[in-house]
Amino acid sequence: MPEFESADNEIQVIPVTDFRNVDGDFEHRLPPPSATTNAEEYLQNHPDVHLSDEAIRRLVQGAVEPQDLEGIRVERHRVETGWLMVISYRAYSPMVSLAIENDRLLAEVSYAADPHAADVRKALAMPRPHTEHAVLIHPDAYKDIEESVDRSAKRVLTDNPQEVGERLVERPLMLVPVTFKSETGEPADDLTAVDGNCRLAFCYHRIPPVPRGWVDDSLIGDASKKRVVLRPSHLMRMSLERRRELVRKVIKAAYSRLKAPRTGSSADIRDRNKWAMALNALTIPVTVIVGYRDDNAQRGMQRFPAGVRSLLLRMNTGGKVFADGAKNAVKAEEIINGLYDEGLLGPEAQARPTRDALIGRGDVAASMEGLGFNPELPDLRFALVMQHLTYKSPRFNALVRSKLQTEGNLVLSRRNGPIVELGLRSYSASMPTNSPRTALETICLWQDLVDNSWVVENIDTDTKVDELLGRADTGETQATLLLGALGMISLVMSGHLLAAAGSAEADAGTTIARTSVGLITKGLLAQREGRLILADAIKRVRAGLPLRWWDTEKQELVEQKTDWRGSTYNAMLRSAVRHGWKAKAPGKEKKTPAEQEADKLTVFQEQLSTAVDRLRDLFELREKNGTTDKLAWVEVEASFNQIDDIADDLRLISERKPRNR
Amino acid sequence: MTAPVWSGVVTMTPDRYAALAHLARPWLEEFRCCPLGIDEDSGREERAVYIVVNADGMACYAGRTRPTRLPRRGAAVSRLRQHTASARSKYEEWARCWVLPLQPDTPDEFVDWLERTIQARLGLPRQNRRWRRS
Repeated sequence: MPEFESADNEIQVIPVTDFRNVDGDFEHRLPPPSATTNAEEYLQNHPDVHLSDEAIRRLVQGAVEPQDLEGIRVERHRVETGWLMVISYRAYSPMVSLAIENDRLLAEVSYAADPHAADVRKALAMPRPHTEHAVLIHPDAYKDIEESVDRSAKRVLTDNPQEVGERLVERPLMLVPVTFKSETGEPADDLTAVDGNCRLAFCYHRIPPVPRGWVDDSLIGDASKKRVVLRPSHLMRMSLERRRELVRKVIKAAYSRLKAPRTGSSADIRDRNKWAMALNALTIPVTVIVGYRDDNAQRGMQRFPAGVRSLLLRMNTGGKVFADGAKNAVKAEEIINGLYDEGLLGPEAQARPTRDALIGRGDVAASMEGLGFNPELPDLRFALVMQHLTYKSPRFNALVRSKLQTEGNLVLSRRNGPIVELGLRSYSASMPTNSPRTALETICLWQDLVDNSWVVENIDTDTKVDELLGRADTGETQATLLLGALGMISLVMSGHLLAAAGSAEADAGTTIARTSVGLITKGLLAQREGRLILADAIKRVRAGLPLRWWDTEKQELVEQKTDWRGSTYNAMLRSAVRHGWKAKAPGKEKKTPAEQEADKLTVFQEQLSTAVDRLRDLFELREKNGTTDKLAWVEVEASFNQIDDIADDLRLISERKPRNR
Repeated sequence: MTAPVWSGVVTMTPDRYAALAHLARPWLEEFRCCPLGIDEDSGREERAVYIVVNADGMACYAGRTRPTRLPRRGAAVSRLRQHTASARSKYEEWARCWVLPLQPDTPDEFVDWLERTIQARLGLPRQNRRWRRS
């Protein structure tokens, strides 16, 4: 059988090291474990490497050329509070794990902040610092971590396709060593991506389904399946040795396929390409964080997690899928952690529960209770977020500005994003938050919230809401602002206060206030009727009842009309803010038949004028072109007939033309 | 002499004014059945739809006014002053105007509706295609 030449569309294995086999060709080759000893010793003794021996072993064993790590230069990378120490080299992608939390999904997962959060799709807690090592400690249950990692891998595969395989991964991935509190025998440490999750997920994805025996059999459901698709969680729970073994087997399988004679068929080319892509995706350039030195030596590793996190935002700048929501979520968490670190959340006994309640990833119920709030009510937590992020002081403003990476003033639009993200966490499990997010993003604040200092009170019963309303009616600022905040949250989260839609004027039958949700709330607060609506909304939404509307004739709250939808309520609310609550103009409900006919006549007459204009356009064009030819009769006959018909028909329904004779 | 910018399709007559006033009926403040000089004080109305006629008496423009701040004089004449002060052709060709004064609490959308309907009845474009700001 003749040997076929390699085809044009065949993907080549790209050399990544200087190693050449006996034929002089590049070949992937897993180095023997013995090659790692010197490098391990070198890193263990390096003053800028702050890692345990296990972490160093994992790092070295994952390297494509571990001998090069001996004598490697440790570089410094500046972050806000200190220096991150990093080394750059080439690693095997299966030896690296995905980021434990994919921040791209931060706006979508369910948070402990929602009192109704179930056990699925949970947002993991923020990583904690280690006492002496530059590692992140993930406190969550191992199965939650596995679930989260598999979910984000699945998501990025569809959301953010990467050209991995035909080409090598070209820009380095940022990695950080982590540890887990594993109690069931899984590895207690790992090396995970900080940036580059998408590319890493695609590297895994390029490995064709592997035989069962290559991964831990206990992981795989159905025993009848001979081959399994590798999932990130499979890799994570393998021991270091088994993981290396897997890499070796993949290399071997790839070469045994690629060295088979070509048959020239397109199926053959496809299959060869699959394995060539697997090899090209098997190694990645990495930059690993191996140490951290805080500007304030007293702080040790305390601010290491924040430092790592801050890298994330700066790196995700290119045209990649990192939605505003997710960006704001990361910034918001940075702000809260920053406020906590700088002691701006009050004394420690109060600061810690405040931080946990605001971030909303864990210990939320206990924290809310510790702060004296009823943890069952999501609106109280949302309001708490508003309170803390509408604060104003030189130190607060400077910190928030730096976290938002803005030089300018802390205007409402800049404060708004983080507030929306943290606030919505209270509802992340119980309902889809897309529509409320759109409404809140119109800006859910008004200036009074910033200009006055106000605090959330534990308004957790209808009686307390009524008392709050009473105080607001007397003009008390604190009560007014709190009523506005809670009422705004209730109206928005129940879908009764939306972003102004195109059809709102038609719904309301008049013009409406098209301003932000915050300014609508301010407008509602200004009038007694509006305050009543706000207070009633708080009570009704908490009780799960439909909202009521203000009847201007009866002068009381009434059930909404049955044909009202959320958008109708929104339109009415906005029109009331614009025009006040006075009774509607008479004759506005429905047009009389005569009015309807008059409108139809108007439309006809306007169209007629338009037709006249269009004919003039033609005249002007002919004049400009110097055209003098007559139009062919057959081309205009139909038009003349229509014009005659119009005149005849109109005459049928019109009075006779008066004659002055 | 250039061609006039402000021509019309029909002449304004008391009959026609009466018909248009009928349209405005629920909100009409005063039946003011005569044309006023373009500079003449039109009264003390707060909102109005007005019809401008040229020297031939042809209806050449219809507009509405519903100012947010109260004008010192009638709303219609204030608005007409702005028109004639800003465009030479309007100053030269606009001769008189007929005013449909409306009650102060006339809803905005009714004022807008009335303007649109009157423009249609008079065969006037919503925008004059030959007019250029001068």
